[in-house]
Amino acid sequence: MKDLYHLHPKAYTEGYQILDMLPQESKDKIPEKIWDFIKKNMDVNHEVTFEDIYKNNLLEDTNILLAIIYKQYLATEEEKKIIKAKEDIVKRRKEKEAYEKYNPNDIFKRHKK
Amino acid sequence: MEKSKVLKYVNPEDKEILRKHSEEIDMTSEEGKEEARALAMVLMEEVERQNGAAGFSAPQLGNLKRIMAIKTFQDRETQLILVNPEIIDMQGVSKEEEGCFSIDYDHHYYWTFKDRPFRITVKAQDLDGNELTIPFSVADSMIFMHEYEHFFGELIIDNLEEKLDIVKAEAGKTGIRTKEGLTQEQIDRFVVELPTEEEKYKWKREHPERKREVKDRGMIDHKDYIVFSDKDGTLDLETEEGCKTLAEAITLIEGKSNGLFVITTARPAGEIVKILEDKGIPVPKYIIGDNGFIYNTIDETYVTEERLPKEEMLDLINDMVTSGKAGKDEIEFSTGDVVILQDCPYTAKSKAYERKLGTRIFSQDVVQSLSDTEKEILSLSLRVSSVQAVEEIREYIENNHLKVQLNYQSLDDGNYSVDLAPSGIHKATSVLKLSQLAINGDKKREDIRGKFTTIGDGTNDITMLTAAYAHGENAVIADKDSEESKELKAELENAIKPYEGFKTGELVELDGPANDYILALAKEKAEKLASKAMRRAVGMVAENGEIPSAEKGSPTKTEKSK
Repeated sequence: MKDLYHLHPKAYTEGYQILDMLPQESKDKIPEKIWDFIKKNMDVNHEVTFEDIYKNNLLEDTNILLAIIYKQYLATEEEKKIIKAKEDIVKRRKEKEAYEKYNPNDIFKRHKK
Repeated sequence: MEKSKVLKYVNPEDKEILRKHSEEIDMTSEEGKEEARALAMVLMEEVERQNGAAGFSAPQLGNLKRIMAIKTFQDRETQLILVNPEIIDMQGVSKEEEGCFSIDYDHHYYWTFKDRPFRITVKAQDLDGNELTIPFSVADSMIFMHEYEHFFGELIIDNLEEKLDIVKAEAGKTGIRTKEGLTQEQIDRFVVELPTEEEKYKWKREHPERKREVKDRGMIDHKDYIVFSDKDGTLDLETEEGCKTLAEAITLIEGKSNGLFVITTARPAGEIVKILEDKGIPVPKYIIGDNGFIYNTIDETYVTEERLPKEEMLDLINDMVTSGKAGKDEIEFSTGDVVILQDCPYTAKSKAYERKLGTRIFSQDVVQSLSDTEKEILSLSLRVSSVQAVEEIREYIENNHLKVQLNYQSLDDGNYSVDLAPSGIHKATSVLKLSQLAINGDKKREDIRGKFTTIGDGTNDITMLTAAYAHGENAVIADKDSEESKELKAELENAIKPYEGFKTGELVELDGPANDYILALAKEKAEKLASKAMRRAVGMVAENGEIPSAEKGSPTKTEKSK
């Protein structure tokens, strides 16, 4: 997955619009260096309306940006646990899918054909 | 069988044409009319040829002109020809399933669900150049919008919210669609043609006027909340701070959260627009003026259709004035953008302010002005000399079966002020109507309870505040220590008594004007929307794997910014 510093410039624009709407106490939790990086790297010509936000018509990179910031700086301890649990479930599911796809026990059966 | 003329998106040359904008046809000239007739013939033939077609627009047949032929669900036998159509009103949202003869491959048609206006009013010309105004709703609205968007190079694969679904249309059988017999390759064939996110955003930037037209123009989309506020005595528009606060609040409500801000006032809506523009404050989408008329500031049209019957009002005034029961020097009427009134010496102080806006027109002979004006009359008021005269006016209304409501109050000089307006038009009914349209606009049976706030300071706000209270929302009184607000509170406490014991709102009193209260409410809503967007992002991203740390990939000091 992409990291916070290598996203599309339009994502920084969209992310900034949303982050700027947060309550001041939440905004204060996000480090200044993150704000500076976002402002320096955003596409100033890109427009996003609240309808895009409301209907989740956002770039995938925007969601990555928001998710990273929320998980690291804004989520409560309880929410962090829930996020971790969700990630673990997804990880286990992907491992299971990979195992079923590449099940070594099937190799010999395939070769037999 | 003659080959179909319909352009196909899979063909690169056709695709280029389908993406272009079309021009209007000059229906004032004979050449234009001839061209329109020729195109209409071709379009109608194609509609009949293509089994199951609801309509075609000229661009689909390679001709970049604004003319369409459609069959509505209301009348499947007749084709309607619309030349140079324009949308003049949209209301609500509905999701309809639709396909397009240009989006297919080898008769395998693609269908999708799109948000379309629930109700739409269209202005167009017929083949003789005569103007038509036609309402469409639900599926017919979808049919019109589908063809209308072809004039702007838009297709059903643009701005998709639902995945395209491919089905095979059985020849000769309309309405029957099946996936049987389709291979995965056939199903996947169009997947690569779906617009990427870059293309979607590029399209939006290149067509800002289309975005505004479809998204904003007259459309009351589903809203989460509405703030209705009286103006005079309730909002501070005199100080710089007050104007700045209100401007910020309106921007947050209508631009950064899913809300509406509506000024409800006795003044004509046109006057409010001018006042706001004069102060550099964003004009909200709707204004309720003349104590009950809902005005759409984007379309510059009224949602409220009722009007006073002009001829009958003239007869009434003439009768009252001639008999000496009404004062000719105190009659006024409103057309929605201006108020025409007799020049009265004792309003000299307000004259200077009102003349600046140009929305108060002083006439030597108001009755003549009323007779001469071609504009519709929203409200009328006159001064009469006795209660008996008030009753005579009431009798006149009843005997002539006029749908007019009458309110009156006694004046200090012993006379009475009589206000006439169409029946059922007052702040409360309009507040509830706009709330129903905006909050229930997507047909969901969602209660409007607790979704709107009303703010006022005078007794003409009482119906609006009572309605809010009864619907579980706060009724807010601004500037609580003023005489007007005290009078309002006393009347309001009486008016809300019948609702005690039910699930009602609360009575809130503010020390001063409502600007700060509205801004605080707007900030709260915008913050909720932002927080919701962030939590949704977490859910979506976590679905793809572990969310990385904010430190991962952190740029070094020597790394240049993008």
